[in-house]
Amino acid sequence: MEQDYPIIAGKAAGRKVSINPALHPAYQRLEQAALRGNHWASIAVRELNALTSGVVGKNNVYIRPYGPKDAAGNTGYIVFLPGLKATLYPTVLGSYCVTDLVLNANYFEATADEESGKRTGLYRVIPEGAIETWKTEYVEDGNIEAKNGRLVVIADSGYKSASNAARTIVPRAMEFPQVPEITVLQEGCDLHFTAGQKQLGGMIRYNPLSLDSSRGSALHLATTMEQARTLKNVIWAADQGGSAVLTQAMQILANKGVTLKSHTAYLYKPRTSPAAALKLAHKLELSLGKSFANTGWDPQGALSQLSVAGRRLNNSNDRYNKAYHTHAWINGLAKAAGPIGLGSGAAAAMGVSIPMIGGIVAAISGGSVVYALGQSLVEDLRTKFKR
Amino acid sequence: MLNFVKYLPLEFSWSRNDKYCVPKGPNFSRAQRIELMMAGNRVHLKVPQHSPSRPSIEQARVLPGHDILAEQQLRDFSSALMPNDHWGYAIPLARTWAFWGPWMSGCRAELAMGVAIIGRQSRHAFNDISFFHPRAFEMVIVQYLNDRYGHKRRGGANSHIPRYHGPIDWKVHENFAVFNATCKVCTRSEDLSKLFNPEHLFFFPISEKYFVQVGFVQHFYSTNEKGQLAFDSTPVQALQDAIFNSIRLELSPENQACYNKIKAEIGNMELTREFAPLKWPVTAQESTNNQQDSLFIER
Repeated sequence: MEQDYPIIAGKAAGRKVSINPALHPAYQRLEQAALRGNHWASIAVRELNALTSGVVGKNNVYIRPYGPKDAAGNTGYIVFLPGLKATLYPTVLGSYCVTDLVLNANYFEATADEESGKRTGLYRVIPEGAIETWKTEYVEDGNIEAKNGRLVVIADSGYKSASNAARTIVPRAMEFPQVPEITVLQEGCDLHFTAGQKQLGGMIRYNPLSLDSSRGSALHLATTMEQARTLKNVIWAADQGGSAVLTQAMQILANKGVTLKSHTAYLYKPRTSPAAALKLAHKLELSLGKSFANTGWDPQGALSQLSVAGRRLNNSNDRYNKAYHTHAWINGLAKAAGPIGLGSGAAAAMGVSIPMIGGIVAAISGGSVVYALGQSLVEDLRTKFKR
Repeated sequence: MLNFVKYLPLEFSWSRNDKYCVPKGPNFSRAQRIELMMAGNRVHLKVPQHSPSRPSIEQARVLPGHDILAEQQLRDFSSALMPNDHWGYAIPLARTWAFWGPWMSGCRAELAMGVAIIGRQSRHAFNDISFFHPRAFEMVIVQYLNDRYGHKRRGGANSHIPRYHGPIDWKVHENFAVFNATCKVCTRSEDLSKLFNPEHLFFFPISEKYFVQVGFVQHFYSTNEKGQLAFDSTPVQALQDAIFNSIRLELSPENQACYNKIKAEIGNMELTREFAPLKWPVTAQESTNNQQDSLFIER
């Protein structure tokens, strides 16, 4: 029966990808949008066509296994793309059939949610001044402004509109470390906006790579980042749950083998694990400042940061050093201390004996940190506290 | 009291929804009267306190009694906004008001307002033109709108398509100290079929070198599944109209004399009643060439 299904890719060679006839009109709309020159529709069609080479090795950020394996060891897959979600099941002879296609039809239309300001994608944020402080304009092809040192803010979802997100986030983004405040005030910045009702991440959904709601947006951001790789010193700053989108986008780029030398990244109060983001940032050869993430008073964030401290100390692209490590460590321990049950943070930093601190740190991190800690304690604590 | 509790400015993920409602904004009857000083001229208006949807949305307010043009130079517009640096601006007042749905169902709309004093930077000043001359002022507005909106295009393959459309709904108002006009500039969809997100603009001159733009933007946040507004937007418009109607201008004696002198010369101090939308996008050449070209009026 499935042989009669319309084939959307791999007619001549490779694995055939067929589609449920009921969904074919939707797919044709997508193809037409691609022919009209819609950037994101062409990406979606290209990614669906790429399935003709099979899905082996494509268990990545936007193609996820789904459902139980069949007798031949094949599983279904979900493909997350900007504006659509497709479910594929294996059929006979290794071909695939699209059994479900959830298309956000508006996304590929010309008017496309722009009216309500809720279109996922890249926006120029312009210091407008005369009416509001910040004005947003949708960028059709997702390219950031071709300027070195450009700030790109990755917003959390849950904002009312891109404009609302820009007016809320950009004032505080100007105060992130490494952000050139005056340049942003004069030339503006770019904002990657993810539409959605809820914030991304959180204490329970702390692993950024397991979040489904940001995958389409992440592919969008990854395209933007890849297009920006020829620019220098671009700052990718994720605000709160934007860390999920940024981490997933970095994972996509890492899988592709793209590097972003001289770019930097920063997380402000991330709602997903900064450790996961940091490992990918090192893979993409980003240059990191001493402070990579401001986790505020979030103990989970402080622990997560401490757990990758050793990795940071060993990386040459990373400005993190032992002196700063002690500083971050005391701060981080103070924040993590409450839940661990050590009482007040000040007591932890000032009065606890070294073996005890070492024990705690060993419990939460790798061995290199203990070594580094011993070193830095000898170097710094003596001069700081016993002078 | 009930209304105070019912329309608390709060929103939680469990309580938010897009049920149809009439949202509640700031209370205009309790709003302050504000006097803005601009080079000796006074603009009086009544505006509520700044109450945005999120606390980090900023307001602008010059110190009460302080003349914003006394020592301050006009700021350049952002290079991302204007292709040239001919215009400058100063902001004595900019505020945002959120409109909340009942029972913590969320922020439904926001009204943003900004008062801006706009003038030519001294190195690009229009020589021998007075903004108090209606024909000259029309030219100034054309030039300003072209520089501000006219050069904006869609990105990528659609770079021939203008991003904005306007001015539309051009209207002149009586009962004001000087001639004036309101209009709207809208964002235009890529296929040209729709106009949306209008910026409501109100222009009037305050001296021979400066004019004031009062701008309003209405942000609507809540839509139902069909993409229609899920609330009654009249309170937003009502607040905007109330603020607009409260604006009053008092020219300084020198400027008043200057205005009267031109009035005596030409008699008819009225702006045109019809103003067709401008042809956008303007080409790069147009936007650089017709600067400080006082012959432009005769064209």
